[in-house]
Amino acid sequence: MKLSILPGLSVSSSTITWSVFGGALVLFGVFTLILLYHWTRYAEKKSVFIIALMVYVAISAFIISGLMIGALMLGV
Amino acid sequence: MQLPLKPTEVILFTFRKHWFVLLVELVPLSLVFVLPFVFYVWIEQSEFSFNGQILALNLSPDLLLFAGSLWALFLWMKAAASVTHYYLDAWMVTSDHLIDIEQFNLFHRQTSVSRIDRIQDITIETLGFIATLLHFGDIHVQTAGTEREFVMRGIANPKYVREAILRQQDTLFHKDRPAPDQGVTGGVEA
Repeated sequence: MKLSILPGLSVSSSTITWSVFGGALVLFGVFTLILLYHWTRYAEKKSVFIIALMVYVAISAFIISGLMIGALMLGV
Repeated sequence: MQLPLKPTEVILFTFRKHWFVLLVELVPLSLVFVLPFVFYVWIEQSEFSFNGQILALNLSPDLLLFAGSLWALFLWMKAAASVTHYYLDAWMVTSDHLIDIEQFNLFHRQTSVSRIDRIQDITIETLGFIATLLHFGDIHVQTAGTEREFVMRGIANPKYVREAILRQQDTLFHKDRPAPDQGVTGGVEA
């Protein structure tokens, strides 16, 4: 499906979907790096850091896989 | 974690805010996450008419999954930031100092250090029904230094924290005092 954003300029809906997906992923990646920096630098207990990291990765993977499936279904 | 400690100094206690303080931040986020879906279901099941025409909201499940996941991702990042903020706020009692670490946001961190022997007054304040029930409150520590007052809000077991600081202060105070002379029984010879 093509969407007209400017006169003479149209973009397919899948392009928009994947752009939004990519942008969200980049933002999430930058945010994760900032969080990792803080946790590795300031957390005094390694065990707490590892548990927090595991929970963060698990839930993030769940959400991002949902986002990817949605993007794939929309992009088709 | 790098702290301004002397070679002989050891960390005795680390105190953090009560878990309820974190819960108060996370529960609204959960509600905000659920709200759009509840709103969508309500709109879908209700019939609204405008100018004699019945309006219906029909989103494809794929779009719902994509939008819902995007929404969840942003709220998850906010929740992770809240947890990080909660964990990185801490008070440490070492053998010589009281260290107040406050993480205001991801790019603003303040560390204040005060000598325990310069502490003049410790006040604890427990305000409210839930704070009284769950034993958390604010601690105000008055010092003789440049940073005159340290405040830690929502700290768990403030009475225990106060006792820990006072106990360490006593230890430092008695360590520097000379031992009493066992031969002196009282009175001075003329």
